[in-house]
Amino acid sequence: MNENEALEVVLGILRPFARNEQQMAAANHATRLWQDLQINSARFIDILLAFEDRLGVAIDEEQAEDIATVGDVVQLVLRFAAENPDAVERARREP
Amino acid sequence: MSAPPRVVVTGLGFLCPGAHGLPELEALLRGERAPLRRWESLRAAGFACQVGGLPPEVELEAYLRTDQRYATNSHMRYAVIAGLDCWRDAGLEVPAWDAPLVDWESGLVLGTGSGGMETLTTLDYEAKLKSGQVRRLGGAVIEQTMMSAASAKLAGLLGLGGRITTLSSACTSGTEAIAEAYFQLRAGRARRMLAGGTEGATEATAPYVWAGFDAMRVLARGWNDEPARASRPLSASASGFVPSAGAGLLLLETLDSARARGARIYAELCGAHVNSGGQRQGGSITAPNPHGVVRCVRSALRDAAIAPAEIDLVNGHFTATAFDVAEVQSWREALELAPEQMPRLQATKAYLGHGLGASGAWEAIASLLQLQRGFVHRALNCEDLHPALAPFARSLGSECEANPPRVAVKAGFGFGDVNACVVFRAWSEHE
Repeated sequence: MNENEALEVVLGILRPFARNEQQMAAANHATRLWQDLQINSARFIDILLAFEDRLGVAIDEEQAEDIATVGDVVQLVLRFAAENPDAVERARREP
Repeated sequence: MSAPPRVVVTGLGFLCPGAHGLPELEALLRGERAPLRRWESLRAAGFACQVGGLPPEVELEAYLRTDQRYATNSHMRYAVIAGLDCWRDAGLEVPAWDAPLVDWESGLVLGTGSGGMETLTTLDYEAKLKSGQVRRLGGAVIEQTMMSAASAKLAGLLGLGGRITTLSSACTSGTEAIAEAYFQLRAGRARRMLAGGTEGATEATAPYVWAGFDAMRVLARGWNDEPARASRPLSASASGFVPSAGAGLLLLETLDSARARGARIYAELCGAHVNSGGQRQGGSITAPNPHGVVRCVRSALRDAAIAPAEIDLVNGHFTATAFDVAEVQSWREALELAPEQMPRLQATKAYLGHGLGASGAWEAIASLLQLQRGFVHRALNCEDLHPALAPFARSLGSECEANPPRVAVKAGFGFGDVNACVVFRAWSEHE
């Protein structure tokens, strides 16, 4: 999985949760989950579960605390993909 | 000290079985057929009563953006649909989701019987707990199951900054919410209050929400093949109520506020009272103490400064259980009128079923609609009037009348022996 593919997966998961649709439509690596997309803390919990369902790997609490931007999530996905290439590739093909 | 402000109704929003909005409600109430149906999900669950009422599908895109639809259950969605309809009906604007202003002068009191209990099944709550998967419940349980879920959702969409609350008093809830909002306005604590009731259930979740009522044998029996005739208040063949779901909202406003913005006025809410029979003197968790009912009605009329002879329309609680006859007797005692002098007694549940926490608001709106549109709906499904009610036959008209009522009294009673009563008067600038 390359960086563009990972970005696509991340944006697909975030989209239904973003309050700010304009920011969501223009989202890139620098877009901030809280300030720009206006995702609240309750939705963030469900976003973590959605990643778990899509990638077959759980994001633990410590990793979750470091997430601030779309780019942070993309880096996490790339790391998962490197560690569990089969699971992530399967999830990417069968969303 | 200045007199308490007068309170008027300036907006209505309505969603019930067979009707979304006032024109559909009017057509329904002028007709002769209840929009209640038999549901496969109730049959499959083994219900004795497989008849119920669910509202029509509504395009949610007109009410909620994608992110706003997330984490909503039906009692929240119904409240949002009726609430935003009501706000717009009153000539007010629904603000953009990111508009910075707060409306500090407006509040919201919503009633509900069961709240968001359906979410416990749609999220598979029990299975997740039993398999040690609490974390898989996610972040959206509480905002759907907290008792204030629906009022919180609706108030957030409108940016309301007054008192926002949900109250729950079983089948009294919708009527009590209207009374409570009226008390707030009379006390000068707000200029506008949204008030009403909501009750959740979809075809998939209705069995969960209604099962307890079927199991306690208070739902209509023997009418599964004739669902439109199943809700039979005041009849000899009444065998229990037909459950239904939806929401109804009213915008109550001080007369000064309504005049200042040139609002259209449906009617004046001129009196209200809420009490309990103490679960004594014949009252219990499931039965009303008739003395409590009588006191509640009399107190509301005293608050309204309305004499019994001025009342044109009584919209009762009448659920099609054994208590209908006792309720008629309580009305007679409260109004101190001979049976042949009684005003029209009306059972709107014959059309809409029993919307539990929503029904008080539905029936208040039905009463207001009849005041405004100048008609009185027929007594449906009681062609076999209960024999004990024969002296009242004149008050239980079998035809839809074009006699415009001017004063309507709406009362609701609920499990827990709780009562609420509100009094509406057709609007006149001169009074």
